[in-house]
This record gives sequence, C-alpha cells and structure tokens, in this order.
Amino acid sequence: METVLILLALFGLLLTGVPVAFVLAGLGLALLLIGGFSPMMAASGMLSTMDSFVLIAVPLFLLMSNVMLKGGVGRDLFAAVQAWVGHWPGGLAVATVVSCAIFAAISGSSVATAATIGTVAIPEMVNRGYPRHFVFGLLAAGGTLGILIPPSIILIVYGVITEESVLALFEAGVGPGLLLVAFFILYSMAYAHFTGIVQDTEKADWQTRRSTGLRALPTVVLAGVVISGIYQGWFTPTEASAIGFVGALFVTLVVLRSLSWQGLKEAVRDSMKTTVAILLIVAGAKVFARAIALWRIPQDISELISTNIESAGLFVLVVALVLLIMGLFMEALSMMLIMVPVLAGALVVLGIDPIWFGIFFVIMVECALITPPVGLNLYVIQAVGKAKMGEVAKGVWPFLAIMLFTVLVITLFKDIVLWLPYNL
Amino acid sequence: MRIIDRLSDLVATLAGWAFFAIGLMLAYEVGARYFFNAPTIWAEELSRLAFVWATFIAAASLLHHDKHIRVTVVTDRLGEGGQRVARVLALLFVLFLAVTVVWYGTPIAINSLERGRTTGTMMDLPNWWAQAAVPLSFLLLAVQAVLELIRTLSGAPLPSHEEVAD
Repeated sequence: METVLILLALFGLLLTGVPVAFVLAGLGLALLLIGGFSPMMAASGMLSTMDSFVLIAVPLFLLMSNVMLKGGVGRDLFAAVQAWVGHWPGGLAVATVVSCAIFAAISGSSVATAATIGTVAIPEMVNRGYPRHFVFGLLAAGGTLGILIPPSIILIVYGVITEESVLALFEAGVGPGLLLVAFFILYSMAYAHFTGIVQDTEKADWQTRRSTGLRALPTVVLAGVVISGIYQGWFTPTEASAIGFVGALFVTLVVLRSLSWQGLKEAVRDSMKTTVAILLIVAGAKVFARAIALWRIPQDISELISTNIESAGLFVLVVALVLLIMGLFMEALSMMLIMVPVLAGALVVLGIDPIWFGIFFVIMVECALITPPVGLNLYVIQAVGKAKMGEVAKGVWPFLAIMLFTVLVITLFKDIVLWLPYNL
Repeated sequence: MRIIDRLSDLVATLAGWAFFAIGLMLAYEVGARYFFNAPTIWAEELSRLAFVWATFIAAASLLHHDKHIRVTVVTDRLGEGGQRVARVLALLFVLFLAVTVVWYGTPIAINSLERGRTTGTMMDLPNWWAQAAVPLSFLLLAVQAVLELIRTLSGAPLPSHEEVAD
C-alpha cells in the first residue's frame, strides 16, 4: 500500500514537471520526515554522493567530447572513414556508423555523438539521395553507441550506484557495442542494395585516403590512448578522463588549430550544464534510495518479484517492458537512477550478473533515447537536421527493432557481454 | 532581482571553469606520478573539494534558465495558463526541498566548524569547507526559486526548456 502511494507521488511530481533531481531529493526528504527518520541524512547523503573520485570522470569526459565537438573533429573523422568505405553499397551510411563508433570511444554521451557526426553526415547523405527519414533514424541510433562503447557516462553512474567496477563495465560494453555496429552496417548495406535509390560514391584514391587519414589521426590516437590506458591499468577511469580532456585540448588547440576561444567557452559552459543536470539527479537519487530503503520498499518489491517471477528470463522481460513504457516519457539516466536501486535486491535473488544487467539496462535505455515522443537523440537530430519530429520518428523504427534484437542476442549469449570482463 | 540572477549565473560560470581546472590538476597528477615519480598531495583532494562545490552551486542558475532535466510530456500539452500553474507547483516543491535542506544541513557544517573537525587526510582540510557547499548552494537555490515564483505569478514570459543531458 505504501509502495503504491509512493509510486503515485513519484509519478505525480514527475509529470507536473518538477526537475527530476528535486523530485527524488524532495520526495526522499518528505519520506524521511514522515517516517520519523533524521532529515539531516538528506544533506549529508547528497554531499557524500558527490564526494566520489569516480564521478569526477563525468564532467571530464563531457569536457573532452565537447572540446572535440567544438573543434570540428567530426568533419575530419567522417572524411577519413568515408575515404575507406564510401564506395561500398550504402557506403555513406556505413561511414556514418563507423564514425559514430569511433567518436563513441572518445565520448561518453550519446547526445554529443549524435550531434558531432550528425552535423557532417546528415547533409552529405541527404545530398547523395538517401531518404531523409532513413538518415535521421541512422544518426539517432548511431548516436546511442556513445553510451555503450566506453567511455560511458551512464555506465560510470551505474557503477557508482551499484558499487560495481567501472572498468569491468567498460570492458563489458565493448562486445555488444561492436555487435550493434555490425548490425547497423549490415542493415545499411542491405537497405542501399534493396531500395537501389542511392547514388554510389566513387572509390577514393590513396592520396585522399592519406590526407584525410592524417587529419583524423590525432583523434583516433587520443581515443586509443584513453581506452587502452584504462584497460591496461595505466590509470583509473577518472585519470583517463583528465588525460583525455587535456589531450583533446592539445589536439584541437595545438595540432589541428581548430578550436576558437569562443568554442572553448561554449564547450566549458555546455559541459557544466550537462554535468550539473546529471549529477544533481545522482545526488537526489541517493536521498530517495536511502529513504525508500528505510521504508523497506526495495525489500517489498524484491519479495513481490521473487514470489511472482521464478525465472531470470521472465524478470528480464518484465524489466524490458517497463523500461520501454517509461522510456516513452522519461530520459535515460533518470530511469536508471529510479529503477536500479529498487531492482538491485532482486538481481541477487534471481542470480543475475550485475555487470550483464548494467549492459542490458544501457541498451534498453538507449532504446528509450530514440523512442518517440520523448528521446533526447530525437531532439538533437531534429535540431541538427532541421527536421520534423514525424520524419525522425518514422526513421527510427527499424533501428529500434535492431537494438531490441541485440538485447535478445545478449540475453541468449551472455558471454558477448561477460567474456571480456572475466577473461581480461 | 537581477543581482541574484547575475550571481547565480556567475557562480555557474565559475563552476564550469572549476571542472576545467579539475581536469588540468588530475592530468598534472598523472604526469607527475609517471614521469617524475612524484605524485602531488593536493591534486586529488582539491579536485574533490572543487567538484562538490561546482556541482551544487550551479543548481540555481539551471533553475533560472529552466535547464534541469524534467519530464515535459504532460506540461507540453497544456496551454500557457496550465504551464504557469505547473511551474508554480514545481517551484513550490523546489522551495520546500531547498529550505528544508538549508535548515537541516547548516548545523552539520556549523558543528564541524565549532569543533574544528578536519578530514584527517594528507592536507587535513577543515570538514566544513566541503560541508558548507550543500546548505549554501540550496540557500541560493531557495532564493532563486522565490524569484522565479514571483516572476511566474506576475505573468513574466516562461523560460524555454531544452534538454541538455544524455
């Protein structure tokens, strides 16, 4: 009964349009007051959440990708990839997917990935005769690779709230990320082949390949240093984000000389806004999680789940459906911060690996990022491509199907996720 | 009223550059450790302190510009009047939260100050340096929420909402 009332209050406040961070902190605080628990916990809980070395990686990875975005590396990267795969069937679409994947290895955010690659790829593809809805769908979906291929802001936050290793989560994201890239590429090639409406691009000569490759090289090297440094244990994810950020400054200010003072100021401001918006939700979620734990809500819910749902498979299916429904109106991170603390108990009971669950969760919230009517990637693509929401929404369905299929594949073959973290 | 807006925006800009400075400090730390085998004692602690302050202090500016992440699926379908009512309700809730956090959070910092508690780490900073971040930031948030309430009730144009996060 209490659980139902709390859920009603939660969704009532969310739908009124109270900022998610304050809904969670405020409702948590109200629950502490009503339950006769010390409300000091609200202030100290928020402070202790932010006193985390791991979370410092969030602003720094955002700074890194925003500096690269303002430095225009999207154009260089796309040109270089296009010189290699542009002449394949659906070559431009393939180049877009590969560029998204490479930028995802720099960026931990799907919005930055969609914006960076979309700015260059959308006009290019539309000029070459790709239908607009296909282009928009491809970019919206390609952008979601940003949070699956490490580094990933969402995986960092998942690691912090579940106390799992961020490194293991980063390793676990690689397999499914590459699988998704492969599916997107196959679909793009098949689409171009069967519709036959796309003009072919001529094969680039070695001269072009070398000159564009040279221009994109610093970006690729930087991504390589950051990722391999994390995996080799040279530095922690947080230190890697600092190295990556300073590296991004070096690449855009010194090597490419493509970042202006104005661009740098915008990158700093945009990163601050995103960081604060995200981290305040993390802080609010901590207060909420502590308060509902004192009210024994997670225990009630795990009990409810364990008496009604016997198999892990059914549980995963139910969670997937709930996420799809919530994804219709909520944004990815808020969904994760509300759901995961409540479900964490049930994972143990059902014997689900928390690392695998994290990756499953990320792909599911990626689906949420591109399901109309609410999906941040949809807004970004709408803005970058000067498109109508209807066009973007029409284009995302095949990609949504591909992503849900990927979820099915990693559920059946868990080793795609778990092999790397357990064997590296 | 303008002065508060300016103050909120100023501290938010400073917060942005604080994140920038954290990046430089931590990169320096890694360099110092690997190349000179001489890790600093200040980089990690100062980063943490700056991080706490930067995250909370910018909350007021985001409220002023309506840049916090929120669910807009219902409010977008309301008319101008409905949106105004929703914003008033939302701001009242924020005000409740902010005032309560200031009320119960301030004694934590004051107490540490009076007893001279320190972190017990290498730099041994006073505890209240970090603890003051929450009540002070929420005080600014509360003042900003009151201003926004007055504006919304007196019929000033509503800020345009736009999502920034991932």
